[in-house]
Amino acid sequence: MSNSTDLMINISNLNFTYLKSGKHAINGIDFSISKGEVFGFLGPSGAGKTTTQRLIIGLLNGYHGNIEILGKERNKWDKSFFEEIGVAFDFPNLYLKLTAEENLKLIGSYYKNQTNNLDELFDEVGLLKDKKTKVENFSKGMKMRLNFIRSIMHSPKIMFFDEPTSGLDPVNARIIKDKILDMRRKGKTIFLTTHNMTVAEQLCDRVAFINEGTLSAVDTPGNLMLEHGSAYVKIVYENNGLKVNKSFDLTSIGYNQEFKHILETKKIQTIHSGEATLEDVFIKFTGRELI
Amino acid sequence: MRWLTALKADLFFQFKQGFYYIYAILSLIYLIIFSQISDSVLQFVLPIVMFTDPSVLGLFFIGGLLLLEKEQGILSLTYITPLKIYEFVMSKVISLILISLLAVIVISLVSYNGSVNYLSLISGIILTSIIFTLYGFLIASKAKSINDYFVKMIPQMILLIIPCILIFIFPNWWFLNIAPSVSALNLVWGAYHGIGYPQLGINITYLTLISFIMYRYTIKAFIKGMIVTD
Ligand SMILES: Nc1ncnc2c1ncn2[C@@H]1O[C@H](COP(=O)(O)OP(=O)(O)OP(=O)(O)O)[C@@H](O)[C@H]1O
Ligand SMILES: [Mg+2]
Repeated sequence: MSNSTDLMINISNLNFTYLKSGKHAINGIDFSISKGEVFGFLGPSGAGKTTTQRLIIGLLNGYHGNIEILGKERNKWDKSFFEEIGVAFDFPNLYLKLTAEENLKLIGSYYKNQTNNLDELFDEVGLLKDKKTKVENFSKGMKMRLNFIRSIMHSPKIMFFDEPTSGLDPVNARIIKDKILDMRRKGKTIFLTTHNMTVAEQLCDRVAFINEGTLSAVDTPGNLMLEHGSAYVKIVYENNGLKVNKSFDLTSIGYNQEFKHILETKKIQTIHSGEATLEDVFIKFTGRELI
Repeated sequence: MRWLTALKADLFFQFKQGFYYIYAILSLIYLIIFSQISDSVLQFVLPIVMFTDPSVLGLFFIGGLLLLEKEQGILSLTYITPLKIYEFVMSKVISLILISLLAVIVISLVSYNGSVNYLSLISGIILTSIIFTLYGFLIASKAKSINDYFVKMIPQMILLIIPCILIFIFPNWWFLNIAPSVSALNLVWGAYHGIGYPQLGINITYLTLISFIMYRYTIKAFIKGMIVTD
């Protein structure tokens, strides 16, 4: 049990095996999330992100270990739990035959806390003029935005977003990201699952890397990049008429014989330097390229 | 009164999916056919149609509805709201009772002039609807797709219907009354052929009991099969 009132989610020694396939998907993970934090859950495909999120939400049963959320063990909660949390799955869950507005009104009616200003929500994600359109005529991005406001319309304390920007164009992705930051400013707690390292870098206060059901690191993106990533110098030169690409670690560049040799003997086309990115950290922890 | 909200949502969804159009057309066809048939024949035809209506509606519609909702992600969506599972199940059952009752009463009133025991008819329709809808829930909980549902549902439906046919051929086989489908048929049949209060009481009590047991079981199977996995 936690004694800090600011602790919204506290996971300890969580283990989970899918009964049907016998797949041990989550393998003893620990982390906690405080109030007002945007927590990124990162990892390659099949790592266990969705599984973890579904366990916390309660769509999967039969876990071992502890999932303490809002001061109470997950399996002790009844359905009033959902007054406090908002969920947007990676797949938009909506009534296709109903209009956007009908969708929100219908689902909204199940909550105690009802929004009195749907138009404002529609407007914030650029759907105001489409609110009378049937969802089956929406594009993927429109569905994603509608699904997003659906998940937050009852002003939950904790929000779970699975790949909230996937399939969105940069403008719409920006809208969603701004909305997430806006909610953080309002003191909401956000659990975010993504493959997208740029999104994670822009939004998350802390990130966790999960790979094959095990957490390998939990820290701020800044610390992780500092510790595990390295700044580099990328050089492009000509060798026997062929174009060659090479990267070198920036910190030890002055002592690098190969680098010096290239500079002295080859015809250089370009030299760039770059910062360490979360992507480098991702690859280091997971040993895999981004999908 | 969240279940009332859910009921409203269900009626709205079913309406938008076009279910009621199909149903209205079907009822209209019945009305046209029945207007050509004399009351003495209708006394035998009506109870059978009235009984088949809620049972078939229960079985066919609920499977279609649930798997449609599952495919559109509506089931997981409803799960992540404060709506309780029993409120969800109850509102689906009630929505189907309502359309069955409406159709049956209208058809009976418009096309039949003989005497009808409406207590027997209404309780028969409600209980038939509950039992068959819950049965549909159970089968749907184990089905992967709409097709799979129908493949699983049809043999079960035949199993429920066989004792109803047998009781017409062998009226003395009293044990057939244990089948809930037969007990429900007794009520609907009795509405047009006269039914004593003890008979009425026994069938209603028996079916209410069965409904209650099925309800408890269905909720468990539904959560396990369609929403929360492990
Ligand atoms: N319903 C299921 N039954 C059995 N095994 C499953 C089920 N869902 C997921 N798994 C397995 O559990 C592991 C974790 O899957 P999960 O869906 O949590 O990954 P993820 O990190 O969300 O991946 P992605 O980035 O592709 O969404 C995978 O090996 C997957 O095959
Ligand atoms: Mg996933």
